[in-house]
Amino acid sequence: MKQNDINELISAYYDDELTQSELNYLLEETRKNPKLLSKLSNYGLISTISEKNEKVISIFDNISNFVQRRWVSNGLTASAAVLLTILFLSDPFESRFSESDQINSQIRDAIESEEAAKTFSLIENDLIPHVMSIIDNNGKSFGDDLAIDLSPVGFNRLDNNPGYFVKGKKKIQVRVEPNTLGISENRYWKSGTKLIYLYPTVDGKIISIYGDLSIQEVEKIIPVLIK
Amino acid sequence: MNIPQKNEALLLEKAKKGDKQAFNLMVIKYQPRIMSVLYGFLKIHSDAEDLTQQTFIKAWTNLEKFRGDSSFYTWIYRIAINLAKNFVKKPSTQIEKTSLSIDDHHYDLPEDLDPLSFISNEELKSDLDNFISSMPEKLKTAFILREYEGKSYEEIATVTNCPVGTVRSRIFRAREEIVNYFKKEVYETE
Repeated sequence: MKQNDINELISAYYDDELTQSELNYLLEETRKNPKLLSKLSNYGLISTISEKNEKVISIFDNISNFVQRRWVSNGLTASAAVLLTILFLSDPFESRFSESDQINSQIRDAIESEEAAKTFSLIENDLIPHVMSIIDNNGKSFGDDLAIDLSPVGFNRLDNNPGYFVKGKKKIQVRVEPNTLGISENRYWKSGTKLIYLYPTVDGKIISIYGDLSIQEVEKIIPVLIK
Repeated sequence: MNIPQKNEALLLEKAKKGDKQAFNLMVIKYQPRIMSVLYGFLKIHSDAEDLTQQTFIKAWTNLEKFRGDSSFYTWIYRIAINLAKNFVKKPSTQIEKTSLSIDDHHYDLPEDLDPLSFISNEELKSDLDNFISSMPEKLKTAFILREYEGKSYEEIATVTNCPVGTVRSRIFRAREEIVNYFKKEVYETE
């Protein structure tokens, strides 16, 4: 086979368009001549350069619109809110939050984009894992939550479910733990009736509240917790 | 961009049995993208290059853990991002380079086009767009339908009313013209 034919095979491999026998042939050729791999890298480079375009931007525009429809945030930059949503919608959370194959596909593209990497560097490293751990609570006890008494605002502890409190049909989760997030202002996210509220105390702790709550209700709970 | 997986699955099977060349074939196609992601993160050529190497070595040493739940690219992308985050947190991560090295497993940068000099050059995107616009119509159409629209060769063949083999040849020729353009115009004017 001529050199150009092998190069054409590399191009077709890049596009995932080789037959099994062609792929095996190419594999043997690159084994004999590893320099052929530079051709493959060159084709990847063309794609990388051509990807630096509006496509990624439009993906993020779509996701931003999606974010605006689903989550309202008071404390994050737009890019961080986008990333929060991306992470919420990606594994293992997508089954809970996803809306359609199209948006999932866009999110996957976005996660894989350079823009996503840049966004990662813009936000606090530990914030998103913390918020995710609240939403995904498996009933573990956290730090001071056994000392929490919300009876002044009508919430009773769920004995078999540490950190959870009920008031009628309303069930919320409350955690108090050392503030390792570096947050100095309260933050919250809302989606429908769900609210996640983070409140940093002056004595170096972070109060996390999650459940079917309004801001006004949280503002009544916080003073009880920091008393 | 749709991540190709058909050829990858065959190579993955071989790589998991210890075929390093099959693994090379899988990762080298993503080398510029991984490097671009890492450069976007770190902004230093040598760090991006080092972490790209580490990414591939780590992927190789952990290949048996890859279950195929995500695309292979997504998996190595996550490895790269985690390495970059750790690197930013503790620069001593550089030390890991030595311990992660595998005797006969090293990823050399391509000798003709240096990805880093391209990735960090913001003007190249418009150079590429201009050059693509100037390409012969048949090559341009095939290339754009593949590269920008993610169409399969068969779909392009249907749209352009020509055999699949012709589509494959046109896309290859378009890529070659672009690579040659960058070699002549960009490198020679530097």
